[in-house]
Amino acid sequence: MLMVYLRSLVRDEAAIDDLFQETMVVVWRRLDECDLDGPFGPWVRGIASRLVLAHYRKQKAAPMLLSESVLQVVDRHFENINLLAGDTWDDKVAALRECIDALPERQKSVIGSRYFDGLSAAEVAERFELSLEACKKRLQRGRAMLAECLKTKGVLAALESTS
Amino acid sequence: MNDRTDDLLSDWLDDAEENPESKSDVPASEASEAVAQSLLIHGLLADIGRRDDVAESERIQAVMQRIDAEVSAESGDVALKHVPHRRRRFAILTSALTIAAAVMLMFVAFGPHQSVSAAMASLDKVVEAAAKRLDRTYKVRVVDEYPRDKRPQKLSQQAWDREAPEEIDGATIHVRGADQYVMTVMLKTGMTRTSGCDGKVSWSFREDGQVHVSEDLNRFRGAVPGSQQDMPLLNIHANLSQLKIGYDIELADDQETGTDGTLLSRLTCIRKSNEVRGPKQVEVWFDAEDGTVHKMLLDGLPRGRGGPKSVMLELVDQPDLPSDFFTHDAHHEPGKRIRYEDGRR
Repeated sequence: MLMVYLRSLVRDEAAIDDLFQETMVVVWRRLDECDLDGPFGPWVRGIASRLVLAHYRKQKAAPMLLSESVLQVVDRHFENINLLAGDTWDDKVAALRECIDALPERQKSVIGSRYFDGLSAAEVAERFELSLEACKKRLQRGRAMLAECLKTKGVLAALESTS
Repeated sequence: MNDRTDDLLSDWLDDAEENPESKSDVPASEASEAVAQSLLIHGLLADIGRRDDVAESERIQAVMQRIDAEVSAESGDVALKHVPHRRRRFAILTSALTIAAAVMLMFVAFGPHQSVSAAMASLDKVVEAAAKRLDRTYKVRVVDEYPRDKRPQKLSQQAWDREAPEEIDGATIHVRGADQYVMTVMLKTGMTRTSGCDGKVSWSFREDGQVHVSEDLNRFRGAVPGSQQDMPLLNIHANLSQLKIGYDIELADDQETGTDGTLLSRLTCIRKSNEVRGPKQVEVWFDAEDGTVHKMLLDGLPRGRGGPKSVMLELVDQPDLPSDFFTHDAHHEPGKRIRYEDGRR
C-alpha cells in the first residue's frame, strides 16, 4: 500500500524507490515513537508524506495542488480502503479492474497506453493522433470516470462518508 | 472540480516534466476531495501498470540491507546496552516488512496466505534469534556426497575435476550475532585452516602460514558451507530477502524434540528455479520458543566447487566465549606474520 501511496504523490519511479526505502528506514528509527495500539498505516503514511514534501522542496518544485488538506484526504482514502473487505490490497481494489474494463473505448485506450504500456502523454497522443491537450483531457476524463465507477462499486462511497 | 484545477491536475500527472509549477492562484483547498481522488486513481493505475515482483523484492531487500548496515554500525558495547529495546524494534519492523513482502509476493511466489504468513513469521523469528549477540557453536556433518562415477552433462570437465581443498566434515563454526564467526577446517594436506570475522575485519590463516586480514567482511567466507550460496547462517539479515525471494518456504505442522529436549519447529525452503543461487533445498530446525537454529540442512549444494552434495549444521553448544574470541589474535601464537590485503597496517 505504501508504494501505491507514493505513486499517488510522485511520478518519478526512481524517486519513489528512494522514498520507499527512506520511509521504511525512518519507520525503523522511530518505531519507539509509534503507538502500536493504534493503526500503523497512517503513521507510516505520515512519515512518507513528510518525506515526499521534503523531496519536492529539494527540487524546488512543490506541486501547487499538494496541500496539507489534499494529503489529509488522500490519507483518509487509503485508510478507508484499508478497512474494505479483502485479504490483500489487490482484493480491496479489485473493482478497479472492472471499472477499467467498463470504460468507453476512447478512455480505455488512452488509459491503457498511458499506464499499462508505460507511454508518456505525448506518446499516447501520437499513437491515437490526438493533440497533446486533447489527450491529456481524455486521460483526465478517464480518471474521473474511474473515480465515479469506484463510487458505484462502493469503494469510494465509503471514502466520501468520512471525508 | 473547476477547469483550472482540472488543468493543473492534468499538467501534474501527464506533462512531460513532473510538477510544473503553476502561476495560477487556484486554492488547493477548493477541491481537495476531487484532487485527492484523482491522485488516488493515478496511484492505483500507476501501481498496477508498473508493478514488478522482482523490483518489489529488490526494494524490500534494499531496505533490509540498510537496516542491517545500521544495526551493524551500532553494534558494540554501547549498543549492547539497548539490545532488548532494539530487538523489539527490529521484530516489529521485520514484521511490517514481512507483511509488505508477503502481500507483494504472495500469489506469485507462495501458496495459501495463511501458511505463508506462518512460515514468514517463523523465518523472522529465526532471523531475530540469529542476530542476538549470543555465542553458538555448530558442527558440520557431510550428509551426502555427489557420485564420482559419471560426470553430469551440465558440469564442465574443469568443475568435475576440481577437488575441494578442505575436509568440511567435522568442521566447527562458532557464531556470534549476524557478523562474527570463527571456523576451523581440516585441509587435505593434514593442516588446519582457521578463518573468521570479528565484525570489523575478516581473516584467515593456515596452520603453517601467515594471517590474511581484509576489511571485506565476506573475503574469507568462501569456505563456510552455505555462505557462498547466500544462506542465512551468517550475515543473516542481508540474506533474509534472498531466502524469501528465491525459495518456497513452508512451516511443517508437526514439531519434534531435540536431543536436549528442546521443542523444534521446521522450515522447509525449496529453491524455485535453477536461476536462483544456492542449495536446492534448505531445512531449518529451530527452537519453537526463541527461534534459535538447532539444525540446518543444506541439500543440493552447487557441485562446481567440488564440495559435498548436502551438509548438516548442528548446534552443539551455546558457550559464553571471551569477548575477543572472534579476533584472529585469539587463535594463533603471538608474532605470527600478518598480511593486510587492503594495504592498511
